[in-house]
Amino acid sequence: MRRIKIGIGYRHPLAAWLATNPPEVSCLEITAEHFFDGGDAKLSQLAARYPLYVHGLGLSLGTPGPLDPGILKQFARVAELAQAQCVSEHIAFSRTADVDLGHLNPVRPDRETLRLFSDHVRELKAACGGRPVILENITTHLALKGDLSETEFLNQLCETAGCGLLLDVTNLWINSRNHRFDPRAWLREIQPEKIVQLHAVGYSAPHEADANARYQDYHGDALQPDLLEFIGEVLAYAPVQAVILERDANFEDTGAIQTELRKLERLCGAT
Amino acid sequence: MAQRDLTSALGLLLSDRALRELRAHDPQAAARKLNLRAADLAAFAALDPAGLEEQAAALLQKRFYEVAQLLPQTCARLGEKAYARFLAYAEHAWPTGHLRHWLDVVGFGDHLRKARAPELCRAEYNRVAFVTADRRLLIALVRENSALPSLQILYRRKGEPRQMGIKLGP
Repeated sequence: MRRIKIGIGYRHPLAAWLATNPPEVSCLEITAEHFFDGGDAKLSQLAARYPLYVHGLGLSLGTPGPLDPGILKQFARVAELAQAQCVSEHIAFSRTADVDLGHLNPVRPDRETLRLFSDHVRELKAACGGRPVILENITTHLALKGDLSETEFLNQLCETAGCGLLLDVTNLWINSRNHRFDPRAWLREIQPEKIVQLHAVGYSAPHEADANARYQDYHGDALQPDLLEFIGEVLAYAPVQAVILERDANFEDTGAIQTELRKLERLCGAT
Repeated sequence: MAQRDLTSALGLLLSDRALRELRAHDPQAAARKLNLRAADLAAFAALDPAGLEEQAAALLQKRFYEVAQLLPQTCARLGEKAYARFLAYAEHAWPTGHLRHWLDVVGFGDHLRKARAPELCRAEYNRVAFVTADRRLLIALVRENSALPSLQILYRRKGEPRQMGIKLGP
């Protein structure tokens, strides 16, 4: 039976709980930007206790032109301090030469974008000492059409850039609800060996009374049963190495977080 | 001026309501204003207006969500007006860099200060302003509602921001 690591995105409010060595946590994902202005000692402590994955929010790989050298340097420094098992970023842009939008936005799935991401993944990998790079799918309200389907784009991206896919199952689920497609059919179009790691957190469902409201990714909800069932299907489909619970809010009830992690553990054990 | 690609054009569209309105009514005029390269004209014209509006709204909502986490009392005091007040600031200000969420809080706080909004919780604002500033110590006198004033002391220990309060009174 394969052994899948279960972990959580490290956030400062979780520090005291993690210091108690919860048995459900076998790895951590840290956000690179959270350590740009300090926290080196904390990072070294975490690296001594857990395998760490370093996740970026601000490299904006989808922005044409070279990566921002200052951000890349800081990212690489964090990856080195963390002794990162791998580094990850998003298939998105958050910034252009004109404006910093602060959050992730879609890129057009076409061959030009494929070349851009391949260049940027190589640049990132080189800056991070050759560490493996995995890229994450995002949620978006704006669906961009290119000369490739999204799944063709992702398969080819992994192939040409030499990276893996960090499949955010929640993002896929939310997009499938908002853009009305079958997430299982989408999954079957992805080559299973490309899927290296999963992100999961409960989705934020729209109010039933509002027919136009959309599903959102606020990263504060508990995993819903339909989503858990789908995660189980993904785990059965692909040779996933790690599953990360990606909470950005509602940290007070660590018992509830432990319950969530145990649910993921059970799913991983069942594959 | 260099021609813009689709991604750069999207960045401006998502941050500028007037530009989105221009594109919705006259895509060619919007493309000219953006100096969009010819290869992207068809994709630009094909952008879904509803999707653009939703994505633009989602960006602002996510910013507000983060601001509300750092200014919980202020947002509670603003109540139902909170998001509209935030929009009045946020649609014209796009902070940059990895501290942008904190800068957003300071920017919104400054916006409320200029408007002399009594809902602004000065202790919350001071805490965030201290984190974003290159300072080691900040001492402020804060008075919330009718409570007695207190001294808010913000300092750094091993680089980490800390705070303590001393209530003043008879």
